[in-house]
Amino acid sequence: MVGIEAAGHGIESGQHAASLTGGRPGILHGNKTYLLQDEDGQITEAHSISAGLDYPGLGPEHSWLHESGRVRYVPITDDEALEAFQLCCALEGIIPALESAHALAALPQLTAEMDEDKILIVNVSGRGDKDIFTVADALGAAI
Amino acid sequence: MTRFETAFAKGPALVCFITAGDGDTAANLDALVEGGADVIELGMPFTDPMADGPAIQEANLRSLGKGTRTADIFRMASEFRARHPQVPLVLMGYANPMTIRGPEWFAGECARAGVDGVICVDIPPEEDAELGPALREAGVSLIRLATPTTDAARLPAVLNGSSGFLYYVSVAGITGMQQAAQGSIEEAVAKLKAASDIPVAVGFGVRTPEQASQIAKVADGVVVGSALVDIVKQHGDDAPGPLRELTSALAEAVHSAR
Repeated sequence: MVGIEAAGHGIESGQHAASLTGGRPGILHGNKTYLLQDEDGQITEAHSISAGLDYPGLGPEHSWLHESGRVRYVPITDDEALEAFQLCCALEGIIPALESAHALAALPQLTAEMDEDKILIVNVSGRGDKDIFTVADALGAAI
Repeated sequence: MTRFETAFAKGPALVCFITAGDGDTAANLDALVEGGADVIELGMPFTDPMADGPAIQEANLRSLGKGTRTADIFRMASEFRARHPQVPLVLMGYANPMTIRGPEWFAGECARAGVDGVICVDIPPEEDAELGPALREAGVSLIRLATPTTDAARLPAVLNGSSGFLYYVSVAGITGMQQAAQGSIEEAVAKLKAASDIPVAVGFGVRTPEQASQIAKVADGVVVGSALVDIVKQHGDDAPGPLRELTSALAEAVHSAR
């Protein structure tokens, strides 16, 4: 299985919400999980264009799946998610949530590793009508 | 006798809270002691202080905004210990800064700095496999919190391994906001004292000498935080004077309650 993390403006920019790639384990809001934090354990600001991913940690189940190696986590940036958002709208007529658009954005790199007869399932976990104003703003479109 | 035992043996004790690194902490702590505080609770600022109301939240942000680090807090603690050898000092804060370098590291630093007890707001007894044992190993008290929703079935878990004093959070809410009804406090304190030998201090929402006096009639200690933190916010570097004034009034109210 593959999981997608929100890389915001890019891991190296420091403005992201990829706590597995750019964080380490800690305790916050009642769970022990990978967190974006400094060396004193102060929580650092997360960034993602997707409100649902804009959090300095992630569900502890993901930390477990990451450490057990059962899931491979891949970072996807705001720009990559926006591109996939538009592509899905244009090709399928489906507006994916910006969270799900991160998963769609990983498709080219994942399918490139696969044999043609293999099947890949994407969990499009939410609809993107809620996100159209965010997307319009990011693309400089007036609606 | 431990410093806690000495402090609570004299009758009801006044516990005063301020946030480390907010204002001139050393001068503010001295003012609390001069005003008559029996126990000092020093807040460790955290970016996500989820048990605190607006006053202490803002104090956390002011302190972190000035660049307060964990090492600075331990420096403040050990300097306080050098100036006030007898006054019990409690660090109050959140799990992540306390455990990020390992609970043993934190417990060791507490012991070295002369910290008597630790209140960790967001590790419930059921999840306390690491911090509590490390503190006990280092000879530092773990001060647990009981709340209006701690029922008789759960209370033994809260008491197990707790020492110094028991902190009764008098409201099901955050610091500094609403005041609990006196009747509910009396009933809760009676239950806690029946279940445990350690002193019971009551906090959250206690702001005035009148409230403190009422609570001190039944509890072993009264904790005041947000009202003091408000003074630090209002007066900045000139806070020691007004802090000493309010602390004196609170101390008189608490010490003469019975």
